[in-house]
Amino acid sequence: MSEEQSDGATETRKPPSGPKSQRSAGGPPSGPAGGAPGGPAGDRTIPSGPAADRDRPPRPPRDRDDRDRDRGDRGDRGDRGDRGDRGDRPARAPLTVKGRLRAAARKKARKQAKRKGMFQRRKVCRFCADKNLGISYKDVKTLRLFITETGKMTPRRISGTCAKHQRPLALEIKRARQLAMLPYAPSHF
Amino acid sequence: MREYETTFIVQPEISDEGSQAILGKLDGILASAGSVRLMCEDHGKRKLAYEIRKFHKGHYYTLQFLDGGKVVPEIERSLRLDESVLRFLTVLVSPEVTDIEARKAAAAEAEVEQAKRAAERAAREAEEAAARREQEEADRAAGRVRSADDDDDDDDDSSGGYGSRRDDGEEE
Repeated sequence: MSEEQSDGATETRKPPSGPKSQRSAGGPPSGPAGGAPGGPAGDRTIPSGPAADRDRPPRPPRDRDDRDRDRGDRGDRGDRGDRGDRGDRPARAPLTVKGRLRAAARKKARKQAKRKGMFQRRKVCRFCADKNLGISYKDVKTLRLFITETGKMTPRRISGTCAKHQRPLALEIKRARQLAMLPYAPSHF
Repeated sequence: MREYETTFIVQPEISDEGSQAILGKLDGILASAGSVRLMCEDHGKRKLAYEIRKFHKGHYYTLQFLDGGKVVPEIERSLRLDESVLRFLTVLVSPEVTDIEARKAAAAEAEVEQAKRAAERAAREAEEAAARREQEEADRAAGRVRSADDDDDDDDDSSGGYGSRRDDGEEE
């Protein structure tokens, strides 16, 4: 079963080894076999087998706990965090079972820490709570509660607005900006 | 019939006749197109969030009307051609107004309310202006001592608060 390289990031890798049965048993054992490539960690195909293990440079231990600090306006773009010096080298799912378990635990811890750090409690949508609070581009007072100091729209996870109301809210903010009731950028005034 | 709402900004220094002329023109367009004019709100002069054509303030009006839709380009064209109109925005408020008469009645009421409120505001402002003038005269008569330690109230230094804080914020 030959595997294809799925994305550009793995182009620099050596071609994946063939079925393990073809490998000579003379090579030094490199710990537990990596299992099926592209295992539970995701859709990346990784070279495995003793040859690949031998040639790859050793990976330094990673401590990701300090990556969970507040990312400000950047928010959670779904990436795995800052990769520091290793940024150019593509990320791989760990090969060993132990490694994968550890990675999964790290990801979960990161998510939890992020949740705790970013907002202390589930905020209630202001518009759901008060049905009479209409959303209108003319109501600058209310709209202003949902933009930042720099005039940007506050993301939903910060303002606590539900999706159903965030959409018309965004629309009305954009309309108000057009009518110069709200600024587009902080350089105004 | 659909309900539309056009908000437009006029130059702040426009005279009363000037703004009346614009409103009159729009009303004429609505009438000749057979649409139903509901209400025109005057939001007054406001500070713009950013400058438009070098203006920092503008006079906001909102015109609400019912129509099938054909009149909207006419209204917009008229606003676009008028040089004293800085911006306009037409919004569809409701695609289907079933009870036209009820909507007209509600609009008429709202208009009356608005006129009343405007009159009250004007009256209140006139009173305040008069009171302020009297106060100033009294101060002048009493030899107006303006030093801070004499006064109990903090009316004197009103410039401190918001103005400067706003300036700090824009340095981002």
